[in-house]
Amino acid sequence: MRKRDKDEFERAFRSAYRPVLQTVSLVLQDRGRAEEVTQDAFVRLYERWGGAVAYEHPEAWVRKVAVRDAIRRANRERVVPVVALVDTQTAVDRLPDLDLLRAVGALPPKQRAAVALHYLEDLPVDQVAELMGVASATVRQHLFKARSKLAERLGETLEEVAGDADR
Amino acid sequence: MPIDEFLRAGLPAALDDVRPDVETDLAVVLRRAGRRSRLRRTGYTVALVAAAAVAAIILGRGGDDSRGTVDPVAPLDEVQVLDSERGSADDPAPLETGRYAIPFIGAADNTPWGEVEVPAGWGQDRLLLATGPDLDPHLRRIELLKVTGVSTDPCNNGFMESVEGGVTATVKALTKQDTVRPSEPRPVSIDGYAGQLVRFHVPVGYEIEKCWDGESLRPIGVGSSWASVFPGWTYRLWVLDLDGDPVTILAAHGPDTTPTELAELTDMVEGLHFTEPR
Repeated sequence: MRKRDKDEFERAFRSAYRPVLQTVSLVLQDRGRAEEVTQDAFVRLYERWGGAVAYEHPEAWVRKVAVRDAIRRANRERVVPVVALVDTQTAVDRLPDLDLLRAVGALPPKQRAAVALHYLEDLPVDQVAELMGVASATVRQHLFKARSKLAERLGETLEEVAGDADR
Repeated sequence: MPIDEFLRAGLPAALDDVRPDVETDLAVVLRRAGRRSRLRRTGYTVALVAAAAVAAIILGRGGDDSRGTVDPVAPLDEVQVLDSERGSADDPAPLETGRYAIPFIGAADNTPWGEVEVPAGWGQDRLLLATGPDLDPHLRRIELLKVTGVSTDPCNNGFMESVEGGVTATVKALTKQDTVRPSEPRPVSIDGYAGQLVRFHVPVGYEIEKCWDGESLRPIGVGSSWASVFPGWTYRLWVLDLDGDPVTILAAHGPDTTPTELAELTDMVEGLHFTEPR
């Protein structure tokens, strides 16, 4: 790879690595696995740099590869305790965060991915659909089901957070 | 608070701890990409030579030479399923370079398969990858296995200790074996799956005649069958935990294997990906 291409790849890595890792962490509920999947997606991006991937936005391409791989893995893996994702020393001070991560972790992998891409990465539904390789209507359905389950599971937490905000 | 609002505000805060050391991870990615590139480069050379040969044949027949250039990436991106009927231990069938999906012998139907990048010079002994016959001093060989038993003495056609208890039980049984000089196990990870690596060696002059069939040792059982190893072989076993389901990758090499050949073998194993069963 030419130096200029390598520099561009490194720039893309520095810009996209953390957000992609966060999304994949939320889908897999495991930081170590998330690093493997995210890094693997970037290895594949590196191999295609300057080739076919140039026709797509590289960050979108790597996000697509990583998210789809994460969904595949999450489908075949056991649920991992959510504390693997957060700093346990500060976890006691952040119970709403833990509740939220636990609740998202209990969703099916595709709903987790839709929630991560839409609410964490702030992507519109059409773009989430493109990344996940499904129809927009399917994404809306995933989000609707996810919101219903999360609202049910997080009922008390939502009230407490609303109460804190009012004070 | 509405759930939408809570998710938009709460998720970034909840994942604030996910702060990777970006420069360190970038170095890891570049290193991994470099290693895969070395494997692919060998493949490209063969693919381009083959493409040149095909082009020469077409031109020789007065064919159309305006069909465009060969894209060396395309064929290597395709994953082929290893044909379980080809080759034998004495005469491995040559393989084209590329990625191959291979089942773990003896594993359940829903156990993930291994996807291996196969460079030039490799062949197959049915579902096993090999560069030559068993007694070739430069032999390299890869076997994906579901180990169900560990022989207490691989020379003896005798007792196979059952290893139903996962990676720990398998490794513990392996490191107690006679004859094959097991190393201390060390933790490893392949494609995100953790496990243990143990190295074994059978001396070149080992008196194989006294063993059960006079030709080979039998260190591990795979269902009703077993894996054989031979004098002069060094072999490594990666015993990996696939979500509670241990699988084993055996990588063997002969006594005259060069450092380059050994590095290629190790790269193939460490670059393995787990994939959906076919």
